[in-house]
Amino acid sequence: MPRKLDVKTLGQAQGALRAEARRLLTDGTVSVFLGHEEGWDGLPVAFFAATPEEAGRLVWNPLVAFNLAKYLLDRLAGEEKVGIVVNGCGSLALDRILKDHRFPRERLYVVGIPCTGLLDPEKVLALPDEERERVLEGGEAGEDLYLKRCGWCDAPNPVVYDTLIGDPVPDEPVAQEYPRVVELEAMTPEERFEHFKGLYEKCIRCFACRNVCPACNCRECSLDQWEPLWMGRSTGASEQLMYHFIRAFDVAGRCIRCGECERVCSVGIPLMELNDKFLKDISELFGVKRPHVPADIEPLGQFALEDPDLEGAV
Amino acid sequence: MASIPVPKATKLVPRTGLGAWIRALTAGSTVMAPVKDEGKSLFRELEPGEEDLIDLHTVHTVNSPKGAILPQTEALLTYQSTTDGEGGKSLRLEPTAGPRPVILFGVRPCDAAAVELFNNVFLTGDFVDDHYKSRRDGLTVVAVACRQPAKACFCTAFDLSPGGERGADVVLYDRSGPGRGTPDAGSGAFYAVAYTDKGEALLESSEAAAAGVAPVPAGEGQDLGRVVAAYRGLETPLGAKLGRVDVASKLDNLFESPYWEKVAARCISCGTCTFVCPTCYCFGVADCGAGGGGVRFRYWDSCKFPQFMLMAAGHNPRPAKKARTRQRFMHKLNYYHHRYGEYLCVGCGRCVESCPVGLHLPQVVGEVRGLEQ
Repeated sequence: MPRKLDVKTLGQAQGALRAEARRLLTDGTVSVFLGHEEGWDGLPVAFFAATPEEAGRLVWNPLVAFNLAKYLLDRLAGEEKVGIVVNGCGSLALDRILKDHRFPRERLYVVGIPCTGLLDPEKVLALPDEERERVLEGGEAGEDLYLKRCGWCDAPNPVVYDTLIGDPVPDEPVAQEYPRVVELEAMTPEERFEHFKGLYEKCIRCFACRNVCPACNCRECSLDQWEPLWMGRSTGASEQLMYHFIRAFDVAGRCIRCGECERVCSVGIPLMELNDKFLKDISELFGVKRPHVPADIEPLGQFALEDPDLEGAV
Repeated sequence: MASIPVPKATKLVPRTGLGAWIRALTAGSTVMAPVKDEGKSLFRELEPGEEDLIDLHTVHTVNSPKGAILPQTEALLTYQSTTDGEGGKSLRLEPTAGPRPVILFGVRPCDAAAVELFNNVFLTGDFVDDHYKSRRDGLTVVAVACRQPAKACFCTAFDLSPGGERGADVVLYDRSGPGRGTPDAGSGAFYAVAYTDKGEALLESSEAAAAGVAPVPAGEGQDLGRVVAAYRGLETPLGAKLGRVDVASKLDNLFESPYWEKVAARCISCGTCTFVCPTCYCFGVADCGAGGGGVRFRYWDSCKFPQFMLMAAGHNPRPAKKARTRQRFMHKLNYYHHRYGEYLCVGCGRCVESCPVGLHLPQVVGEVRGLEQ
């Protein structure tokens, strides 16, 4: 369910975030701090504050939809310590990268901020000026303005942090439902095939969905390889299906259900359908209630000799 | 600003006759048009009976119409190797079939101008690209002037305009002139102005007449001139902010600027900007086949992809995001300008609207202006 925007707390959080980032950059705890600043059209864009002065440009508001954790991979080389700000889902993205051993925790300083809901930047930008002001300054946002992921969010409070700004928000359990998957499952295999073919036909293979995904964090993507050529460079139906199926299988069990893939898709393909299918399967087959939350033991993420399901399988 | 060519023909197209006219056009050509698809406006081939889905209201389709002249995947030739009785090998190459003529219907003046920028690359100089040429020769462009430019529009920063004719055979100007909202679909009409022989033929055809494309009523000539001038004089929101783009020579000295590191940091190396861009034309060539035969095709490539310059021996001249980001902006704002005397951008604003991380050309132009030489 969408949270209720708390504009006053958000404003206080922004001040506290700037102060904390300034402190970290001043005392040398970190040499760069990953956050957001205001872009040309008022929407927040990723920002890498490198000096205490630059910390003053950090913003925190209901439009900071973009997960920052993926940028850590750019900073893997080197020894510098990196600061980063996360809300609830941002911390799931970060935890995904940590659990996949793609960035060392000891090189991170995490500032967490509990989340009262995020708005869809595209929808907010499309509003008439006055209405936008009412939403952003008055906090009066209709349910349809929230990001889709807020609807199923059960992790508004950061799961990883060193400093927490503000008080945790009420953390109620939310039943994870997958209505689109139920529709998919009701189709015949032929109908499903046609459905996916129709969807992926529109794909322009820009790889935005892959590149924004915190679970897509391989050192080298198999889809980029030339030898062997797992996926041809043409955009025929078979290659399009290959791309999207490989990707869905690859993130199966690691998808944090942030829906960023779907949000950044410029041609509007509902990419979460397949991811949700895997989440639903994991939930039903392995009894995992929150399959999108990174955990130390994950059904598809470990191999153990004492695995009870291993008996008879080898 | 370049002088305005004298129209070859002017007609009046009633809104209610658009469907019939487009249906008539579909008979001899493939018609590509902006179509509403699940809330997005996409440029794609029009299937028979889809005339009413055409979306002439949304300023930008998500994708540009460049696929009509440079398809995302385009077969170049087929090959087959054979072995004769004595063990000798031969390779047979067959050209692919020529393309069907295409009518781009309802493109915006920026996208029409972009086609001309492709011509510089594929048709001038020592090498003419035959595949491109046959598509270009078969292309007819029917543009529609923008009644209200979108927030991200900046064509005026490149001496283009929401009513410009560059690259278009015909331009449709809504008779009610520039303004907000959509005129009622059931009423109203477009002035259709042909600027080329191809455009004239399109407007003078018997099919057009049958669909209701009629002469402009006597005495309305002045209105037509006024309406067209109003479109041509429209300012664009981002164009007004940006002013005329003027950074080509400044960039000569900024190749090594630390600025590129800064601007690249935010890039996530996806190809959205390059693939929605009407002027990005870089492509790669690959084979798809088995058993000694197959197809050689070209496909859109993107300088934002880490593998873009990767060579067979493993060397990558642009291994870092900084170099790749710089390449996109230097190509559009400097290299191309040196070669052809104009910028490789028409200010459509798609990169502004589609970049997942808000990194786009107008922003870079603004920031480059502020850099120390």
